[in-house]
Amino acid sequence: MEKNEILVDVKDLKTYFFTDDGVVKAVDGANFTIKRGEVLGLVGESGCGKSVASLSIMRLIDKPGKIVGGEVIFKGENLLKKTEEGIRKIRGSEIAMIFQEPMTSLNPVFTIGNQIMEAILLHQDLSEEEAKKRVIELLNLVGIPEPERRFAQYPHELSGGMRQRAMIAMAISCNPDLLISDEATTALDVTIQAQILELMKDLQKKIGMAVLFITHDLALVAEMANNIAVTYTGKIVEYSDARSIFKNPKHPYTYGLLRSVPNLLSEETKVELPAIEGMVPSPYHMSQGCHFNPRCPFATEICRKEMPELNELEPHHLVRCFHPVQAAKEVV
Amino acid sequence: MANELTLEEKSKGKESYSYWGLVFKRLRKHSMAMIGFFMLIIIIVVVVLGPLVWRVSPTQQPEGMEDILLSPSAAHPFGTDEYGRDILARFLYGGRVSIFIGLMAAISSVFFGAVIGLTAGFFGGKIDAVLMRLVDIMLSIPIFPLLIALASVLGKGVWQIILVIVVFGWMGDARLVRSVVLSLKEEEFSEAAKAIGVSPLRIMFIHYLPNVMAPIIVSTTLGIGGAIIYEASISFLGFGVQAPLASWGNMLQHAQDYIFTHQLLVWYPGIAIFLTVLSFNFMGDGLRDAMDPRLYR
Repeated sequence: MEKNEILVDVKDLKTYFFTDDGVVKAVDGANFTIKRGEVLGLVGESGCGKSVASLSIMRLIDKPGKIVGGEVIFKGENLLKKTEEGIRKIRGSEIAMIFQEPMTSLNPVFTIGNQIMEAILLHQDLSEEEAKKRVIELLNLVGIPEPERRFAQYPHELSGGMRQRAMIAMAISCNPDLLISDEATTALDVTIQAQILELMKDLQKKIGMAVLFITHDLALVAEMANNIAVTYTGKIVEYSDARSIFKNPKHPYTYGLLRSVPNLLSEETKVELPAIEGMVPSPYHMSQGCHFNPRCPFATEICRKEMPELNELEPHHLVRCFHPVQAAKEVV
Repeated sequence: MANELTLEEKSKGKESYSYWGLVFKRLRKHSMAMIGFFMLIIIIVVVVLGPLVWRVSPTQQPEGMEDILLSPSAAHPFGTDEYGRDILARFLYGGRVSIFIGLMAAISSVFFGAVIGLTAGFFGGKIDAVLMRLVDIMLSIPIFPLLIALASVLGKGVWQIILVIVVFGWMGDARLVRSVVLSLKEEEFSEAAKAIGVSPLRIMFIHYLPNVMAPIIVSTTLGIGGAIIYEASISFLGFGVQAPLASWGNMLQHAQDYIFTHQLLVWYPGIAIFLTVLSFNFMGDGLRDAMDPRLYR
């Protein structure tokens, strides 16, 4: 397993939703790559197409949504060209996913153990007994106390944090190469959030899987990610390693996001926290030119006319902007 | 770990209940359901085992007119009917027929409705539209006038009645199951199941069906009472179970001529139907309360 091998290469991915009110371009030409063992953070406000992008990788887009273009190259194969049967073999075994709501992502009528076992039995050639042993191992690994007893319990008997641990156990049960974490800690309270994050970091190192870490919480990506892609209205607007994004944000949107995070260490504690003006535009009424222009303090004539390309401004630092923020100070 | 540990401590010592274990526990505390349950046991035991103890033919008609419409006596504890047949025997055999029809019809129509509802809800789109329009059409047909026509085509008998009740009784269950499946499809665990590579058919039968069981069981229980009433109505109109075979429904039909002179003939089957249906409804209500998902914990 070569360390620098590219595991996932998403090329120009387009996922549109065809609703009665018009076409919503939830993901509109996304490009990113994830190497083996890498953690890529996908950041953006609500409704920026982060979840849709991740579901598109798994081909879990339901009507009226449709993947209309692009490629998802996973280990050299285009997932979008695979048969239903083929993609099902990859789901859960090579690419796994953790969802936002631990309270509802487990089926209430099955025991925790049986649900995790299903993933194992579907993808691995194990007997029920071996699978059960493996489940108890996994429950141990994700830090669920008394795994033998928990195995036979139903989801309603577990707390939110425990359920999310169970979901993680299910996700890593087949040693996936890629784990997609879709706002996996958002629904948990802060102390549990920290534990789950710690657990994910730990497992990521142990198993060596790559993680696509989707969140709207900048502090979380700072903790987790090697690289960060910032999305806005279905397009990636800035893409670089975590350090550059935080030290040197180029896109006015990233800059605004980072400035709007409260800084406890700052001296100017009484200063009002700057927010980005306005709201994410309605997907039905997207502005001409750069989609961010109505909210952008640096917008000029050209921004209202043309959509800028994603340019490599500095080595490995891609920005979609005509007027990138110049030499911004360290903002966080 | 602090929060989870306290939770952990709390749950220690407490027994762990599965969903069905919990339902059963709650059901035992539901007094109406338990009354219904025990009444049903008594009724079913009497009806099933009664004829083995009371070995009198329900169809044999004595010669002559002396034995007709007798009052209760040692030889005939419930008296005799207009042909001199023993009413207790007819009552016991009739109960078997009525409860058999109720069970068979309710279970089959729920089964049929569940299959249709599951299919419609799961596949959605055109399949759903076609099946649900079929439900609407079936619901809009007035049943009793049609029964007369059907009786002349199919003939009259136990199986025909069951068929008729099923054909006109599955629609509510189809709608019920479809609605549950539609809401299950939006649950995150469906997505989670797909994300670990579970096939659609497996999701439908292994993941959804157990979640639909609760409303199905309630519907079946309440449906049995309904089907018994239905059988009685059809038989009362003369299109149902035909003499000499007895059912509680046709005993009522025959009794209507003597309602002013020999009231007991009405009371036996009437009270039996009343109690049986009431018991099934008590039990259905209790089950519905016990399986209420809002009381999950």
